[in-house]
Amino acid sequence: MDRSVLLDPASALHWIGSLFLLVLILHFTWRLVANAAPTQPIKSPLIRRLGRIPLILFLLILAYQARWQLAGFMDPDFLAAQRGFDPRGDLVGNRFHRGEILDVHGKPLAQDVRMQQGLSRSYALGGRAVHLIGYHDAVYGATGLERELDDILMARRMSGWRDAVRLLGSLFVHRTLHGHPVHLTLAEEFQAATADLLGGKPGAIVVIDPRDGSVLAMVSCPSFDPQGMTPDRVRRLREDADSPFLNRALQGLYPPGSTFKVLDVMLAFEHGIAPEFTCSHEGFYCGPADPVLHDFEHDSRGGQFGGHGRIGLETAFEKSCNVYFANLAERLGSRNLMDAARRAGFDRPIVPVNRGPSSMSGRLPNRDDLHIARTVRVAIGQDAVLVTPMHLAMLAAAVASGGTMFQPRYLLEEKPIPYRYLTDSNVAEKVAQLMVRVVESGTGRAAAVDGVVVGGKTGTAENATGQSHALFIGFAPWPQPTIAFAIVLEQGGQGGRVAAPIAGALVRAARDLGVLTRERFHDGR
Amino acid sequence: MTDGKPARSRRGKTIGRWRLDELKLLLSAGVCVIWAFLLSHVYVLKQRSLDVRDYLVPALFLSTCLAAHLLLSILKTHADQTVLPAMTFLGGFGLAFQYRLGLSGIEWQSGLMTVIWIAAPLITALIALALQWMGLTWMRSLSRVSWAVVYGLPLVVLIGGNAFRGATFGPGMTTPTEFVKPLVVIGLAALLTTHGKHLNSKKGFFGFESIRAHLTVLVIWSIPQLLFLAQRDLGMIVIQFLILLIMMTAVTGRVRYLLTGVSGMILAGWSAVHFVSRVRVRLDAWLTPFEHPDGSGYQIMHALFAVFNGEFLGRGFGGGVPNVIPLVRTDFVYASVAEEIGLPGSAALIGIFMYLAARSCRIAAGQREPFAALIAIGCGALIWIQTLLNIGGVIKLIPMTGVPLPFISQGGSAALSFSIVFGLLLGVSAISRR
Repeated sequence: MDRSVLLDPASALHWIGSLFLLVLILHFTWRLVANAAPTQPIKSPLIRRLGRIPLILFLLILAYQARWQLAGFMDPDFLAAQRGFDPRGDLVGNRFHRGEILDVHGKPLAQDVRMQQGLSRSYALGGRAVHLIGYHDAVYGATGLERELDDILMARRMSGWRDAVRLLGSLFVHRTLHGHPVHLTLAEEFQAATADLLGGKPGAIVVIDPRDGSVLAMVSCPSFDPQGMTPDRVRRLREDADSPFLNRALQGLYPPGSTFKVLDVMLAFEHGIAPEFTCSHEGFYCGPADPVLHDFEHDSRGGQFGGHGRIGLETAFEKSCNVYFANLAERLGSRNLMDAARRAGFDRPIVPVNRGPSSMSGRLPNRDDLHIARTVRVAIGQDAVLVTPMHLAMLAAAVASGGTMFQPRYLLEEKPIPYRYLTDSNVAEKVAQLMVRVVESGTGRAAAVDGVVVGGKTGTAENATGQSHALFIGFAPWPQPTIAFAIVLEQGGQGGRVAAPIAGALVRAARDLGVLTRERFHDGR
Repeated sequence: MTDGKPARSRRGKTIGRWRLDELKLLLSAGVCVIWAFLLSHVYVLKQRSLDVRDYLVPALFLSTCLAAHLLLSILKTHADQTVLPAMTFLGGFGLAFQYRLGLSGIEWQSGLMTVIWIAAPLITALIALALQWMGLTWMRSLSRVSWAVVYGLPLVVLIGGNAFRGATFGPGMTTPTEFVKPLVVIGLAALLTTHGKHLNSKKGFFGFESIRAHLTVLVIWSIPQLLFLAQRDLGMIVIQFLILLIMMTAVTGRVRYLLTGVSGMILAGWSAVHFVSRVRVRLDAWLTPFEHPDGSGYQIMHALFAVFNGEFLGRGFGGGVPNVIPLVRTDFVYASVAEEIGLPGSAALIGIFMYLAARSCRIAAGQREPFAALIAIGCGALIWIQTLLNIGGVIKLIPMTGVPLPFISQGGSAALSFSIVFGLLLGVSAISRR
């Protein structure tokens, strides 16, 4: 019964009166049933069996009623509908408040607001964070973090006896139920700024802290407003050719393109080699039956390209010379390349600390001893290599943090956990320095930012169905990177021309919003 | 009653003139009813001053209950002593609850209904006394008349126009087909007493005798069902089918009638889902009401909200919000009851219905005549089936069939037909103890 009535003496009296009615009813029922306590058993077994039907039904009906009356809040569908459509919720205060999703500074990103009828979920960032935060709708269910963290937000998670007692109590008085808030590692302004960088074009950006794996921003484009879902709108969004419901940051699989060369140079340093190769414009010849591998400039500049000439590892990485890396791949062999890709986690999903959405599993060729024609294509991130932007951000973070990846973490309360070991810190530092040179004087010059040393690698991934994907992975500020990021622009064109300027803008936004000076293991308290 | 005196058995059989167990239980039920009305009066006083009618209705109802008890006592009936108090509680609680719903501004259809509630205990007592005096032979000879009514009522309703669920929207009695329920019990009891021994027979070419007996029972039973099908009164057909199965099980001793019948019913429902789109809509409303919050799932969803809102102890009598429950006076009254008296109160209410159903089996076990035993078993089955269909439908245990909850739902015909059912039970129990 509602405890607020006890404040009003008349209501309190009525409440006690109702309780007494309950006692009277139970007393009568007890006397009625006790009066029929059988003294002689029914002789006919058939009639005895028929007489058992009402007893079974009594228990069945009561148990099923209790499933709604006491434990209805454990049914997510029911609770969502009750929050959204029960008009009596405001009258008696028996409405479940879902916990808030807060950003790192405690600003609400998702919270319940009172609407004309029922509670409605309001999202501060709207479409700019919808793929990460998701939505919670009475009819369309929950997605993203709203779904992954549902048991915390709905106070259904039990950790320790205190929660168990609370849960037990809420079986009897539902008003004790109030969802727990969750604190995310991302900051509202930075997420918003990151979302605006893509300018509505299909693509994704993932920004993580290389020191502890905190997810600082995650954006997928195109997106949609999580508020005001109507059947008509949902149908239109579903039919949209650009699939706005898809979270490209975690579920979009893209060829990594030249960003894979980060792993190539890492292998070269690990094997202690830095060979020089002559790279003419004729490209790399694999065999009579196989296609010739050319540099990017061979196609884009046509006759004016005379090849990179005889160059070393540093220049080749700066210029992203395909022919050089094909030669290097021949030297390294496909087994080494596949081993490096697996160390980077390209063959599996990226799973966050404890809770939060996982990425899709990356794809690698299904065998290790590849033919040379395929080996050289793997080395430049083509062939059957497919990864999500999350995988690429993790690769950048591993390089930036000295060779160790931290598991992505979405919630401040989770402790950072080292995830995978990519390479040792000396090698990682050498690779990182090469990436800094790419931005200083190589293909990634457009990512340069005044006063911040940015490292990165551009990528232009060939796409069988259309224009190339533009990619950029990087970190800033060197030598103590606090952000690592991956940018993917679907069918965007050339990485250095399209993705690198966005990387520059991203680092500038991070600098202006104070993300670059973020404390390590920041827990917001 | 466990006072340990050897003079009175625990089964409530009276020694001497006065039915004391019944009186005690009756007083206990009366206190519940009076208290429920007094609680409602507190709310009335907030709106207006009390009228003479506010006292008169419960007073008249309780006095007819007392009169029924006195009638049974004075005329030295040995009828079961728990049926009348249970009926007093159900009728009184229903009356108080409908009164309480009226205070929330939910319209009460007609005053005639109140009259039916008040008359119901007397009707029950009179039927019981008639059965005791005139005996079963009279009842069996009446079975042809009852079949005639079973055939005639739906036909009249069908010809009369308003063919939906037997409703004619007359004054007070909105669904005359309700009376089919007790009458079909009487008719089937007579039919099965005559043909029962042939059902098990192995005589004749390939058991011809048995086949003929089965066909006779099935054909006579199923013709009115076609009329109900034309009225789309699914609940009525389900009720009568289950009664047929249980009575056939009882007369032959074969549980397989019940098992095959129920599985056949589920199979028929399953195939209906695939072929009749209207049934699929109903099924969707039952299985996934939250996906159609404004359409087919609306009613059941709001009923569940009410049940959920009741929490464990309930919101208190008069403390709930019945205004937002659709059809709260009739089909969904139980949602509001559960909201206001909570799980223990609901348990008591379901318990009383189920107790009466189980009690009727005990009454049947004490009979020498198969006809009387069959009537008791049929009445008991009717009580639990009706309770299951209504309450189960409200709490989403089974699909909603639009069957009223006797004496609690607004519905004069249902109340009248169930006072006949209780009268039959009382009469049969009186015969066994003569």
